[in-house]
Amino acid sequence: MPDRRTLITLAVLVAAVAVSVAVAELSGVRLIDRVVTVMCINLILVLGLQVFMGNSGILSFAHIGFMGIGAYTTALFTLPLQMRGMVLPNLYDVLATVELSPALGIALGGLVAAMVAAALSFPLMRLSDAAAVITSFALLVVLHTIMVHWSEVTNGPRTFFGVPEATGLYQAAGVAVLAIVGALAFKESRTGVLLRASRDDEVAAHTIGANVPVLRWRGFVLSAFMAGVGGGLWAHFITSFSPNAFYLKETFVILGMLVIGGGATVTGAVVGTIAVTIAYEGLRAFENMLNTEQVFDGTVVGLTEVVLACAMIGILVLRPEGLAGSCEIGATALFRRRPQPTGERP
Amino acid sequence: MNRSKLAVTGLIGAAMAAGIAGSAVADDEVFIGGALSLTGIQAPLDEPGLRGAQVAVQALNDGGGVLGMPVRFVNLDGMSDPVTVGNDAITLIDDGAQLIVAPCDFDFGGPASREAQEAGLVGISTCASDPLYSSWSLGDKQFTLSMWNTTMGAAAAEYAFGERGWTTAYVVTDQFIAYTKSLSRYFLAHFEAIGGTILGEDTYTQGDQDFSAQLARLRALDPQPDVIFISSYMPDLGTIIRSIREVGITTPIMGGDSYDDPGLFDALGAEFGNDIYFITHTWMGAGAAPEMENFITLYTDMYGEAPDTAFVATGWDTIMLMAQAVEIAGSTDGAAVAEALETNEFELLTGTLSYSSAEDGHAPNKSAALVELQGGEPSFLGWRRPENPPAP
Repeated sequence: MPDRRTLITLAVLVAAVAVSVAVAELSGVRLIDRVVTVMCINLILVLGLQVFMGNSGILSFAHIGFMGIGAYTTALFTLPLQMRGMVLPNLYDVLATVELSPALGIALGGLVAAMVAAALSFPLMRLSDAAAVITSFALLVVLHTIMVHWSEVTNGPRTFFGVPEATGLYQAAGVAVLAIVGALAFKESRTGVLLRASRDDEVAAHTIGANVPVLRWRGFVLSAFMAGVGGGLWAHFITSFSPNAFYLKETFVILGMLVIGGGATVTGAVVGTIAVTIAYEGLRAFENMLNTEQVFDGTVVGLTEVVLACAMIGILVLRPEGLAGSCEIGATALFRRRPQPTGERP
Repeated sequence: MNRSKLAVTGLIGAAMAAGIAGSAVADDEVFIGGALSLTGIQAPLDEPGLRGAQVAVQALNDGGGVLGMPVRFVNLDGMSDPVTVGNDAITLIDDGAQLIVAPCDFDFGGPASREAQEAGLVGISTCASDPLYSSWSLGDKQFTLSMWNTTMGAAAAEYAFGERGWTTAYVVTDQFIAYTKSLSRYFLAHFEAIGGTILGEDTYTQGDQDFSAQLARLRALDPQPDVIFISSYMPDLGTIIRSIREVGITTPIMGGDSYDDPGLFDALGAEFGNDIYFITHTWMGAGAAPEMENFITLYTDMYGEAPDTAFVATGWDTIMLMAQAVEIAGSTDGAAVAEALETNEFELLTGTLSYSSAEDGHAPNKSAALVELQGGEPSFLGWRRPENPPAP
């Protein structure tokens, strides 16, 4: 049975997602609907990254590569049969006759990403510090190169198009809630607790019998699964993409969200995603307003990048542990020594 | 979250709401929305197009507008992000945009065109040249102003084989992006279809900055090819051509619109910039199009300097194409404008243009500009319109 603080954390974080969905639904503005959908997809990716990075303390760049695996897997299996010849002229015969529903495709995408991660990462999990970071970056480059050149299934560097549109606000938000549950459950599990012990002191964790590479490996596989599912949802949202969608730009967006929110906690992942999304969309709307109303003579360009970059520097200097700090929201003073809230349910 | 952060969030939220609410569309104007990127990797292609488009809007309004109504053009930065481009298009359509200008690439322009299609509006990409930018993949009201790569490759092949009598070719393909790979494929297909022989193919990857291995294989060829087709782009394109010319190979070199870059002419200079021919969108000087001088004058008035790249013309053309189609259709109704585009031929800065029907993919039947580089100076050789470009 999870303790009270974890349950409160879960309730608050799920409520945050629910409020976002309610705002999108009540506003009736299509733009907000799309923004919240993308935010929920990003949330899944950020939580996936948090599962590995937050608990093991190792920065992973490979995450978005697994997002790409999930996206291409579901795209490949859900693409309508009559479009296969046009989109993928050199597809293997075995795959040319299988067509899955998007839900199955997304789940399969997560599984394939997890399997690839399981196979590739075992030797890598013995590494620590800089070596681990560099190898994860190398893994991202390898995955990207494979996506660019495996024309039979990815259409090479050309755009993969025709993926059925299936990801709406509710699907994305539903999976985001599951991702929150998963990330919290992993953090509080035996593996999660031992993994965090190894993060804080690897040698000490060893002495109490923690098999650090295996612990990290479990975290990495779960993390890749979540990235794969997030990638699948994104594929069914955007419907056409090329390998460049799963490379450095997306990596830094997701990493930035986690760092700004605070990587050590699930709360940090949620706070970072929501804060960056609001800031990005707010600044974008502000910039567009300045330009369409012609407040200045010239056009204002790049406000979002500049302000977000400055905000990131500011946060790293003033609050290196991120906006959310180092405890989960359920463990903060906000919820201490008070009767258990009755109105909320997890 | 403490109070100051709440205040900041509230402020941003307010700005967001204000931005979304925007200004309501008036009934007595033609509202064109754009999602061209001003930041990120797509900006070098989109930003010149936007400048050209703004000149066109001013020219239209000075001349009495379209259907007697003023034209309003609003561009929201697409930020080289497909999701943001889609969001921009939705914002503009909800604000009342009647036509959509999409970014110059399938990946980035596609989301804008898909939203336009969903709302029943015509969307035109300024210069996406991938045959994917078709009514097959985007819908029956979506177009691209550019010729497809099929035309670009075929025009190069016809000039080489048909006009110059070069019967053997050697092809080098940059593997880094889709554009260079598909351009090579169409050149190869058409060159062989009209009777030429391909002596060999080689690959290169943008960023290598070393062409020596390929050069060794090229020099080992016997007989030597009549023409070398290189599908790459700057900055490495300059390195490749220099490497070839430095060892004394004077074989003519051909390529596509990525050669249309003042940086390349400077990199080669008078010594190496000889016998190079390329297919591009237009020629920014006298003799290319009747409207060209007018455009250059208006552009110089607005920005204080003459246009530096042919891509500015694609923005002007997109707006002018929309204006002409709306005049023919007599309204901004998506279906009527799409029909006007499908059934008419248009005279533009970037050549004569007509589209095939929606069933045939809205394939642009467009003339391509042929440019020659001699002594580091480009000159215009005229328009070419290949008869049967290869199927996409």
